[in-house]
Amino acid sequence: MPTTLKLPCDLVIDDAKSIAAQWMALIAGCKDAIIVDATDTQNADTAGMQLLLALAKQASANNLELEIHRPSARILTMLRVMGLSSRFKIAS
Amino acid sequence: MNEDDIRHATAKARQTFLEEADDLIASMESALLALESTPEDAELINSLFRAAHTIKGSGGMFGLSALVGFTHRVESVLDHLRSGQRVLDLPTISLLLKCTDQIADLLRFAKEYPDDVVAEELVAQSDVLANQLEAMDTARNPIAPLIGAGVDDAGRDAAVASDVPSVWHISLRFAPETFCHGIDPFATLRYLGTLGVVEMVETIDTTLPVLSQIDPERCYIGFEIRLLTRVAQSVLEDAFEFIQDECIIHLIPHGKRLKDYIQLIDDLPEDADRVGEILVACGALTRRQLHEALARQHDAAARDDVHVPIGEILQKQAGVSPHLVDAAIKKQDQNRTRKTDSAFFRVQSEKVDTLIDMVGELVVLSSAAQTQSVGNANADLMETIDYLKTLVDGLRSNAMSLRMVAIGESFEKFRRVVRDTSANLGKSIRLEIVGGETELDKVVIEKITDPLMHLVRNAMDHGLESPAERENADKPSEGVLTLSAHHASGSIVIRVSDDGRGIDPERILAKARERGIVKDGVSLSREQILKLIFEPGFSTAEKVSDISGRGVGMDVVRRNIDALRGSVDVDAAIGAGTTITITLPLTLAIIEGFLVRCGNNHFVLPMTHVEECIDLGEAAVAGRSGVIMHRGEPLPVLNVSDVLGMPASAVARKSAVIVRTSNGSAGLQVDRLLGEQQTVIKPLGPLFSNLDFVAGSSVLGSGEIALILDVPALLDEMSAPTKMKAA
Repeated sequence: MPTTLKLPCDLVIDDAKSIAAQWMALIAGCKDAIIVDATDTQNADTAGMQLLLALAKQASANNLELEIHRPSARILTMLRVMGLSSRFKIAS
Repeated sequence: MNEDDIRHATAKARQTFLEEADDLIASMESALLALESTPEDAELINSLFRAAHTIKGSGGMFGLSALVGFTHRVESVLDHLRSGQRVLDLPTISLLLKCTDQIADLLRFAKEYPDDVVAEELVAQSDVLANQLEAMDTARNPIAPLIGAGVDDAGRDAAVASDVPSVWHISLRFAPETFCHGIDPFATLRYLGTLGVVEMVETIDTTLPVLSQIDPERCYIGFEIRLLTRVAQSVLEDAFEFIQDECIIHLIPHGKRLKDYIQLIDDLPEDADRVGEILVACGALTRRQLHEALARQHDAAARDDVHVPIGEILQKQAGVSPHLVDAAIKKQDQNRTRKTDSAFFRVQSEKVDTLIDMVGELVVLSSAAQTQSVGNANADLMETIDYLKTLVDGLRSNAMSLRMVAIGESFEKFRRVVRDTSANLGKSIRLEIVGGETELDKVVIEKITDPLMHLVRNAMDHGLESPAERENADKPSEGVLTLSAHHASGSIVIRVSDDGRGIDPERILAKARERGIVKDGVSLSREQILKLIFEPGFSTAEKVSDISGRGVGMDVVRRNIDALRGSVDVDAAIGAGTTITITLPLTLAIIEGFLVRCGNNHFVLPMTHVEECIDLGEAAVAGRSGVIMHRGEPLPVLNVSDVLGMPASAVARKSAVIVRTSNGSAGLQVDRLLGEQQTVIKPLGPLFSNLDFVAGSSVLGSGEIALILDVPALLDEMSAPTKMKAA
C-alpha cells in the first residue's frame, strides 16, 4: 500500500525543519511507493523544493518509487523554472 | 526591532563593510601590480572588476554617494577592459592604481567622518582622476582584445544592448547559509526569465543528502543556466548584485570558449565525484545525455565485460570536447585528494586582545598555584595543579597563535612602495620576498611597519645605484631589494638587504668625528662604526631628497625597534650591498623569563637574551662593573644592584646571568637565581615609563611585582662607545 504524503500549503524555509521531521516519520517503515499529494501547496520556495529533492533521494536510497500527484500551479511553476520537471514522475 | 536597534544594526553593518572594503582595496592593488607582468590575465582583470563592483554596490547601501559615483566610473573602464574593448597597458595600470588609492581615501573619509559631507578637495580629486581615466579610455583604440580570444562580435560587444540576442551560460553555486540570509535562489531564476529566454536550467543538487541527513535550513543547491538575451553584460551582472556574497557566479558569453568551461570546471565547489556529473554541472551536456551515456556504459559492461570510461562514451555520443573531459577528470582527481577545507571568519581584534589578557591572568594564577603548592603533601593536588599548568600552557599557546599572522602580508604592501619610489628615482628595482610565511604577533607587525618602510626607502634612495652607475660597475641594471624573515631561537629575524653600493666605514667614521659623535682618539670596531648610522642627526647623504637623507630616520628606526625589545644590526660591503638585520620577539604580551633577586626586589630577564648562569664566588664585582675570566675569556660583569641604585645586599655569594645581545655578551651580577618563569608583561604606567633599564613589569605568583630588565640597554650602558671614554 503506497504511503501518501500531503504537501503543506506553505512549503517554505520557515517550516522546513518541522516538515522534514514530519516526512521522515511518515515514510519510516514505508515499503511501497510514496505518493506526494501536492494539491494544497500555494506557497513554495527553494528551501521547500530542496526538501522535495531530498525526499526523492531518500526514496531512491530506500528503493521506493515516488510520484507527485495533482501538483498545484505553484509546484508546477517551481518545477518548470528550476528545470526539475523531468526529475519527478508527475500524475495530474 | 525599534529604531535604535535598526540604527545600531546599520552602524554595525556599515563598519563591517568598511573593514571588508580595506581587503578589497588590497586585492585590487595586488591585482594591478601583478597585471604589470601579465596584462593578459583575464581572471585578474575580472577580480578587479568584481572588487570595484562590490565596493560600489555595498557603498550604495550606506549612502556613500561620492564613493559610489567615483567607483562606478572606474568600474565602467574595468568593464571595457574585461570585455576586450580596450587595451590594458602600463599607463592605464598606473592610473588605475591612483584610482584605487582614491577609493581608499574615500573609504577612509567615510570611516573617520561618518556624519560629514565628503570634503571638496576629495570630490575634486575624484573628478580629475575619473576624467583622466575616461579620456585615456576613449583615446586608445582597441587593437587586439587582450581577453576573449575566440569570442565573436556578439560576445565582445556584450557591454551594450544588442539587437542580436546573445547566449550566456550562467553557473550559480549558493553558499550554505544562503537561506539564513533571507535569499531565495528561485527569485534569481525568475528574474533572469525577465531578461530573456531561459533555454535550459539544470538544478545541481550533487551535495544534497537524503532527507534523513539534510539540514533543512542549509542550501545545497546550484544552477547551470543557458540564457538567450539581448541585454548588456552589465545589466546581466546587476541581476546578481544582491547575491554575489552568497554565490559563486560564472558568466560565460556566447561562443562557449573552451578555456572558460575548463576554468568553470576548475572552480566548481561541489564534491562531484564523477566525470559526467561535472560535465553536466558545467553545461557541457544535459542530464539526459549523461543518463544515456551511463546506460551505454552499463550495457557495455554487462555485454562484453568491458569497462568503457564514461569520458570516452561522452566524447563519441554527446560530442563533448576531449579537453573538457580531461578537465573534468582532473577535477575528479582533485576532489578525491582534496584537503579538508578550512573555514575562516572575522573576529574583532579587541575580542582577541581581551581573551589574551584573560589568558595572561590565568598564566599568572597557574604559576601562583604551582608556587604555593610546592611542599604540599597532597599528591592528588600536586598532580591536578601540574595538569592545570599543562592545560594553561596549551591555552596560552593557542591564544597567542590567534594574534600570529604571516609577515608576508605586510611585505607584499611594499611592492607598491618599491614600484612607485623606483619610478620616482628613475631606478630599476626588483623586490624579492623570502620567508613571507613566517608568523609573528600582529601588534609587532603593526609597530615594525614604519621602521621597515624607512629602511626600504633608504635602501632605494641611498643604497641602490642608478641603472647607469650599476652598468659602469658591471652589475645588472636592475637592482635587487630583498625582504626576508625567519624564526630563530624564539625571535623573528627580519632582514632588509640590497645589492647596491654598500657603506664605506671610513666615510662613516670621518663624518662621525666631524659631527663630534665620536671623539678623536676613540677607536671603534667595524661593527660599531657601521652602527653609527643609527645615531641621531647622522646622514652621509650628499643631498636631501623627499625620500630620505635628513638623518632623522635611522635613529627613530632604532628607537622603535628598541621599544619592541628588539635589536638592529647592519652589515655592508663596499660595492656589494647593505643588510640591515632586525631581531624582534615573536610577541609582546607574554615572554619566557628568568627570575632573579637583588636585595628584596625581583627582576625578570627575557630568556631570549639568557645564555647561562654561573656562581661568581670570590669573583663577584664590588662596584658598578668589572671583568672576570669565564671559559678562558674575559667577560664584563655589571652589578645590577649598583646600576639600579639599590643598596648592596648582605648576600655573600653572588651569581651572574650571562646574557647576549647584538652588543656582545656580559654577566649581570645578582643576589639569587630563581629560575625560569613565564611572564605576562604589564606595561609600565606613564609615571614609570622613562625608567632606565626597565622594559616592563609583571605580577608574580606570590603577588609581588617583578620588573622586566631591558637587557640591551644594560649592555649599552657597559659598552657605550659614544660616551666620552678614552680607548
